[in-house]
Amino acid sequence: MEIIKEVKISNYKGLEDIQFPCGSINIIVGPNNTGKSSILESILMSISSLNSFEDALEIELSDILDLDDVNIKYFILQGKKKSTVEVEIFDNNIITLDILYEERGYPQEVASDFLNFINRASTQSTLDSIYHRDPRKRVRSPIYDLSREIRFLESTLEKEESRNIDSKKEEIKRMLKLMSERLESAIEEYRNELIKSEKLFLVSKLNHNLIAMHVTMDEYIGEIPVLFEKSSYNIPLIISSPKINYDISTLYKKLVNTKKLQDVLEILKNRIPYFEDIREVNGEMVVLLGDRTESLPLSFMGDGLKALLKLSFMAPLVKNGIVLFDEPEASMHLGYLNILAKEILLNSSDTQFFISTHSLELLNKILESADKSDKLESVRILRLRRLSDGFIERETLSGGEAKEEIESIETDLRGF
Amino acid sequence: MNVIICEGKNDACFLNEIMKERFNLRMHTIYYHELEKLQEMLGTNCYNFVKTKYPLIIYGDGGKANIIIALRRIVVETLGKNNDELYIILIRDDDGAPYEVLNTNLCIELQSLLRDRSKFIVHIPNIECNDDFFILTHPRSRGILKIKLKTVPSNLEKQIAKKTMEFKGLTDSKILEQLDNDPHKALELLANKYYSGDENRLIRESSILLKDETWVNEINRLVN
Repeated sequence: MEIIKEVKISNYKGLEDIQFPCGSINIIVGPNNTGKSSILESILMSISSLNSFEDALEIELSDILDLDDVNIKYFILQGKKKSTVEVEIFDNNIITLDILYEERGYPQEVASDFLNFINRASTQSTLDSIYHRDPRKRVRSPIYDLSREIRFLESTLEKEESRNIDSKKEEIKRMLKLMSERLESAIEEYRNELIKSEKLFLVSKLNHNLIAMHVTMDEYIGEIPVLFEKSSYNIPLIISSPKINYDISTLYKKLVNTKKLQDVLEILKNRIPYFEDIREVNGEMVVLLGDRTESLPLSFMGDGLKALLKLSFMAPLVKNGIVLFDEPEASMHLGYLNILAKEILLNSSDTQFFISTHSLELLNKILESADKSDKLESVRILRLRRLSDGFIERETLSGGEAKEEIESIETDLRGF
Repeated sequence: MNVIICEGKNDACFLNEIMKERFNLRMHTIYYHELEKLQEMLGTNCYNFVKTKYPLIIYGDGGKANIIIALRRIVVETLGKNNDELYIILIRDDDGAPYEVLNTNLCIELQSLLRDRSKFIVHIPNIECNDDFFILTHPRSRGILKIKLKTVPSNLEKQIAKKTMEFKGLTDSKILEQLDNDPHKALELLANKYYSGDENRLIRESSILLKDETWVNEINRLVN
């Protein structure tokens, strides 16, 4: 399935200018630091912007982008202030994601939406919660201190209630006035700080119509939704990345809820001879193996089987959607890679895959399986290479071209 | 760094023997069907080491049909990658075709490769023909790729078989007949007759007979 037809990325991280057409199965290869993961991130951001920047498992962007640990200015290519990801999807629709960086303040093009948001947050008392997303800031927050003082005052009042409160009236009034002034000044301070701080805006448009705007600030955790217009499209998307540790039981439950578990288990049982079943018993995931009479906890299984289960559970969850696999080969033996390749092929008729890999075996297995199922032309390979001045150059090959090169001259498609 | 890309295992074996005197251990030859080895040697991580250790790499056994596929792959893979001059000498049999025709075909092939949007899309590399060399540059790199076509008159197997027969004073009509029809077969018959079927030895030992041929001297001169 080809949901995304073409991707164009400019000035995102190390990618200055790159564009490529897409197939049902897109395999991204290249040496380290050529931008494979950055391409997956770009796709994730632009497609998930239709769904308030969350994937199908409610994984937030900040969990994948390391927003907490990296200075936000590095998301834009050095010396630039704006990065753009343009994704052409089905029916000639175009999602344009602009990533705008401002060291102080905000870019003119987002001014009105951003200031409206700040004003709204100031009056709706949500400013503090925005500020408090970083636990380190919470400790220093003047509003937090004030709320502690108010709680202290309330408890004092409760104690005093039995006695004569009139004598304390003036003192209480004076304290409340003082607090109110401090609160207003704290809110003003917050407003100013939010306005002046270093920021990264994610502005998404569908066919030039604004659909989402999120902002993240240096030293703040996560991104703040400034604006979100419900779009008519919601493309299910899921990402597997070494940065995210998905809980298999969560995926399992989702599969049970969507009634797709049996299909996946049947495929796994057919392909792994000793695998019988996986189920949840008393809140614990257990695995039944053919050569054992008792089930074993999933945690006892090898990392390869866990990885295979995780990836096999993911794809069916996003039917008519997009799956992003960042280096799925980790911990997997060749046999499991073969199973994974077949799973990818099987699901590719109603799911689009973007896979970054260093594994020649996985690449070859996917090509082999595609060839056997007469689906070679649905595979596209995106090869990345770094030129001497740091520019990332790309090459695209169809599955047929790739297979022919491997057979005729034994090219290593990953490049060196 | 010099890279010779030739048509087959026999060519690689012959050129290895010819270049041995000059390069000895400072030369690496890839005889078999493995472009990945050449890719690795020309890759970013190994390039400087390989350049110092092996100023000459000979790559063969792509087969006649695959020599252009291999050249295309190496151009795409290396153009702009290193700030260096990589010199590729493409050696192929002329099979009776004039050099100019083969060189023009190569030029067309390279031009179409550089304009192939699946290979280069944002920055289109330049190609110029200078003194019979094709000079390829990428706008985002100071590196240069120089390509030169050199042809073997008729074909290598025929040259070797003919020279060996002359040297041995052989007038075997069966081998003579194969010389024009199927030079590979002629080589095989000669190897069977003199070297117990060891074609490799036949090629190596006959190289000395051919080393003063004009085309061999030219190849030698082309390698820096």
